[in-house]
Amino acid sequence: MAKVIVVTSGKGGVGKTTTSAAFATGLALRGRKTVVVDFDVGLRNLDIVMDCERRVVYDFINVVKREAKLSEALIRDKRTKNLFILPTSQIQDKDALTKEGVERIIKELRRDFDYIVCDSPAGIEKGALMALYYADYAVLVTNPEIASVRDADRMLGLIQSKSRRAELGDEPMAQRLLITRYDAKRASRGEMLSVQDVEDILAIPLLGVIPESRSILRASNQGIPVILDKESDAGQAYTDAVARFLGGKVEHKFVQPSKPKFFQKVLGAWA
Amino acid sequence: MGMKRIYLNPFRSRVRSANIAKQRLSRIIAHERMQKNLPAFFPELQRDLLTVVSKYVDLERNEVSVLFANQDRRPSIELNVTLNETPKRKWAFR
Ligand SMILES: Nc1ncnc2c1ncn2[C@@H]1O[C@H](COP(=O)(O)OP(=O)(O)OP(=O)(O)O)[C@@H](O)[C@H]1O
Ligand SMILES: [Mg+2]
Repeated sequence: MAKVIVVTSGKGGVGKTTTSAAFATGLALRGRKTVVVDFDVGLRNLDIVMDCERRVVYDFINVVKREAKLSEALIRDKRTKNLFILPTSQIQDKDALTKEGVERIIKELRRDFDYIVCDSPAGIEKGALMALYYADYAVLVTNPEIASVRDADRMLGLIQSKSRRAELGDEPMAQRLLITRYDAKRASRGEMLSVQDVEDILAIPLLGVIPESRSILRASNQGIPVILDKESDAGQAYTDAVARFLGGKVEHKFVQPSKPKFFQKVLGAWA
Repeated sequence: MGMKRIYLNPFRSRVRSANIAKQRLSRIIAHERMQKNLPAFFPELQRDLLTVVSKYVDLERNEVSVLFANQDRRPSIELNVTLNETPKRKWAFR
C-alpha cells in the first residue's frame, strides 16, 4: 500500500525542503519507488535542491487544472533510480491548489508509487493544510529553538483536527519528530534546547536528529540531496532516519557532542 | 581529469561549490526573467511540439523540455530531447 508522507513544520526555513529531498532520495536508494511533491506554490524551491529546474515543462498546478497529464509533469531524477519529482509552479495564485485536484493526483500517484513525500510550505494556512490533508504519516521538522517548537506544536494540533484521517475518524496520522540544525555542543553547554527538551515538550517519537552542518550548503549549491554525500554527518543522519522510518533500529548519532580525537585515543589506550 | 573527479565525487571536488551555485543561479534567474515575456502562443507551441516529439519518443522514459530562453541576448525557443532509451522507431541513418 502506498504511503503519503508530509514534511511539515509550521515555522519557515527550518529544513523541510532539505529534508523532503533527502528523505525521498533515501527511500528511493532503498528500492522504494518514490515521488517528492512540491506543495510550496509560488516559491518552488524543491526543483533547485534537486537540480531539475531546467527540466520543468508542466507542473503540479498544470495537472490540477488539467492542462497537462501527470505523466507529463513528473520528472525522473537523473541521479537516483526509482525517484521522481513533481515540481510546483511559480504562479502566486493561492487558490490554484484545489482539494479535488490534489485528491485526484494523490490517488493517481498512490497507484504508481510506494511513497509520496509532500514538501509543505511554511505557515498554517491553506497550502500547509493541503499538504498534510491526505497524509498517512507526518515528519515534523523542528529546530531546537522556542518559536520553532511552538509552531511545531500548533502543527500537531492541525494534524489531529484538520487532516482527512481526522475528519473521517480513521486511525490517526503517524507523527514523528525530526530535529534539524542541531548543535550538540551548544545543547550540552545549555545554550540551546536539547533533544530531550524538545521530545519532552512535543511528546511524539523521535525519527532523527540532523546536525547543523556545512555539508547542507555544499549540497544545495550543487543541487544534490545531502543524503548522497555519504561521508557527511548530515547525510549519515538522514540515512539513519530513513532506516528508522523503514523499521530499522539505529542508534541516534549526533545527539552528544563528539569527543575530541585526542581524548578518544587516550580513553582507547586505557580500555 | 578534473571533470572526472567532479563526476566521481562532487562533494569532495576541488571546484568550489559556490562557483557551481553561481552558474546555476544565473541560468535560473535568466530563465525566470524570460518567463515574464512569454509570447502568447508559447503554451500552444509547447503542447504541439510535445505532441510531435511523443510520436517518436516515450515522454515518460526520456527527458523532453521546451523552454523559452535567451540565446546571445535574443529570445529563443529551446527544445531539448535527451534519450535514456532507444527510440520507438529506429532512426534511419543515411
Ligand atoms: N542541518 C542543517 N545544517 C545547516 N543548514 C541547514 C540545515 N538544514 C537546513 N539548512 C539550511 O536552512 C535553510 C532553510 O532550509 P530549507 O529550505 O530546507 O527550509 P524550509 O523549511 O523548506 O524553508 P521554507 O519554510 O521557506 O520552505 C537553507 O538555507 C538550508 O541550507
Ligand atoms: Mg521549503
